[in-house]
Amino acid sequence: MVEYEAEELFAQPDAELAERAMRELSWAERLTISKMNPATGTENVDVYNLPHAVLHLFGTRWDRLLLDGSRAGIAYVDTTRFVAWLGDVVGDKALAEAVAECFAQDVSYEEKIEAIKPLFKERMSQYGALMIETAVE
Amino acid sequence: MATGGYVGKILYVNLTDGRIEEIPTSKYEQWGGGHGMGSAVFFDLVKDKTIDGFDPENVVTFMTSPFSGTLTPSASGRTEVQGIGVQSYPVGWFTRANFGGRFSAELKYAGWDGIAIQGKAEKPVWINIVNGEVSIEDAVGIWGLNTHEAQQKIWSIVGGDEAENGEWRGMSTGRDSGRTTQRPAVVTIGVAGENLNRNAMLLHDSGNSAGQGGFGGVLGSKNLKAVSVVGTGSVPVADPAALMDLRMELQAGFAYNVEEPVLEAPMADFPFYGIITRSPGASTVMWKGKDHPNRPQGCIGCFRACRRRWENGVANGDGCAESTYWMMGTQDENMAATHLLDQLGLNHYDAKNYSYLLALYKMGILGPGMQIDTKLPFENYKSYAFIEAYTKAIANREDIGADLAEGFARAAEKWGRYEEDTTSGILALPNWGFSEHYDPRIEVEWSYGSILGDRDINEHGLNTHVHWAPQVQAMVKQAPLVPAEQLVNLIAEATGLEPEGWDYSPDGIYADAKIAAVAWHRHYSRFWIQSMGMCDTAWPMLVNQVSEDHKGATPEYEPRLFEAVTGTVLSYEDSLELGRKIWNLDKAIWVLQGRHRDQEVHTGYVYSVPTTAPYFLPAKVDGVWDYSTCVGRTLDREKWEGVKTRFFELEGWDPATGWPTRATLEALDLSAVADELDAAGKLGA
Ligand code: SF4
Repeated sequence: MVEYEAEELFAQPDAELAERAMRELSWAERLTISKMNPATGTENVDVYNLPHAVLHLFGTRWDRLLLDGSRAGIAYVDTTRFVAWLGDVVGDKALAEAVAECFAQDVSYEEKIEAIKPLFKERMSQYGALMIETAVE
Repeated sequence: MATGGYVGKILYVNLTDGRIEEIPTSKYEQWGGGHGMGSAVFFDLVKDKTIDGFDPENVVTFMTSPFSGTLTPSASGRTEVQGIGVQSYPVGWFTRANFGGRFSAELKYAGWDGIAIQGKAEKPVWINIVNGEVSIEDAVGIWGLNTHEAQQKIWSIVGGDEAENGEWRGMSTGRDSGRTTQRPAVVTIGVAGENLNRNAMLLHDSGNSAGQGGFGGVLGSKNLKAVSVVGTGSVPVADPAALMDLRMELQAGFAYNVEEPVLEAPMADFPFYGIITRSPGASTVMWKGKDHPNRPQGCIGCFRACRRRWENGVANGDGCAESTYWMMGTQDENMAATHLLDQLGLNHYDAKNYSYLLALYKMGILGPGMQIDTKLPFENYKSYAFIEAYTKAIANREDIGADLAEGFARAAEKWGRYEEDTTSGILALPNWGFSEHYDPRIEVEWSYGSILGDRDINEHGLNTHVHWAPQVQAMVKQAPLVPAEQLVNLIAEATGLEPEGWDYSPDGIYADAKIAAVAWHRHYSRFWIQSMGMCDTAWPMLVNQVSEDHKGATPEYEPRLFEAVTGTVLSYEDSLELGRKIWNLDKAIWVLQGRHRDQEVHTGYVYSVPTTAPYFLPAKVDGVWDYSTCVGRTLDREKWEGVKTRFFELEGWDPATGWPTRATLEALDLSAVADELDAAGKLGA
């Protein structure tokens, strides 16, 4: 599995990109994630912003059920559509490219999602910090 | 004649004229118990089956089974509820719901095998059952309370304020009436039911709910807030030693071994895997225990104890779908939202469709001043304040909650959106207005069974083995514990059907073997799950994921348990025939209500929108069995029509209408049912 040092991968995003990437999206811009658990089966959840996607994808990972997540089950996203959504809709080309590279590995879905987790952790941290700074300014 | 299992009488209460009567259970014993008895009692008491669910003449039954209140594992604590429902769309079919806990056992200990309630009280009331004494009580001071408050109030009235739970107390019905450590078992409605919400549920204890069917609204329409029962008797068991031996055998072979687990999850803190290991508390997988210590909790007599009780007292026992209601906030908010549903008496399975409303909001159709005008705070849809306001609005019929209290299907129809949105799939209600549960395009025992019946079937016993076990194992990169070919062979052996009955390939779901499997599923469930009260979380035990040979307990153990409890020999084949008889009686009631094969069609998206997410099920492709991801699948309309025709032929029903024929009904000793269909001009040709 490819492991990235996210800090080395991404340059700090500028305010314009941060604002765009973190914005609330429209109906046409939504991403659909399939949430699966034994009680309810598979439910399609429409996601309208990047943090919301992160919440659904990584807040539902198996290994975090009792550790720091309150959600359970499998969160499935079509990998091709997800990359396109990150690049074209969210507008974060660097993140989309890094995610695409992880997804190109010949590993299971679970491993692909594990591989992109550090990318999002770093990117959200960058956006979070920047958004606070912008707000302070 | 059974020598055990039954306690002899069914309670009839007419709320219109205050009549309280006894029906001898022996009159209905041929139906086994639970659902079978409930359908038969309903058939006899409701002369005009075309009435609306809110009509006072509608009968609501609460039925137990011979297993209720005994040590029969995962079969002692379920109560079957039936009557004409108000939830299904476009017709409120005669339907069923079920709840766990201890109500069924307490009812048996009080000397009753079931309750049938008809009529409408002039003012709000509750029914008080203390052993053989039954009274209709004024609900002043209880009506308007939430479900937990209402139960506490009734406990204080029946059990006495001074009695602490767990202490012995005498019941005030005479010196010989006995003592109990139990609080009364109360099933109640919340404000949603009082407001005639079509998705109002019944709640018992903290989190045992009978969700589907809208029975909360039906009880509300009868001005009936609650039924309370406490008993100090016991249930006769024909062969207690045999029952104990069977329980110990099942415990040893099919329960989680707490001291020496045979199989554990492949990673730490991984409760989801509990559906495979069967570890206690496994169904409550949504909430972590780090912040809130908890312990497993189960329905009375259950050896699975699949739920959890939490130290903070919030959402106790909520282990099923309701625990997924609100997934966007913190864990405390998630739990609070589920707790709120419980207290308002609102069924999660319809209310959960707020994501559809959010789609309409995003599309500019719903919002302040929009086509669907609402002041609900959709702009803060990720906040707990939103889910709280939204949930209360439905329960109290405020804002768009007034429309949603009629159910999402009826609300969408009122807004002129039902056809379009169920065709695109943004409103995923595949059958009779019920929310999608398991994928109707692939896992077809579920979708065929639901549309050929009255509701989302909600029977997980088969689903756990064919879908969830391989799904979970695939997602954690574990090779299936039971390979696909072995799985279908084991299920074939247990059911007596062909392995191809469990083929979910694009051709397999339309094959004759699949149609036979769907019929088996309906017949097995109608008898063992819904009439014998065996919990679908545990039964049928078709496969043992944990043991070396993977052989399940079905069909060996069900008849042995039946014999140990009732003293009556019932073969597995005869039990399926009884299930078929009950299924035919239900079908006859639906036909009298207006059912025709033309209505038995899923909503548009099932036939036109392909599946996108992997959904593991066994499939036979080019002669080789494997677990398939089943991506890109829809149902084919024409093939579905063919399936219906062949299913009706298999059941002995008229393929042109789907109506049972006289020959079929008479062969099942249902001549009176055939006569009633004949009189209505609805007997199959
Ligand atoms: S498996 Fe769970 S829901 Fe079923 S009877 Fe046992 S405790 Fe109740």
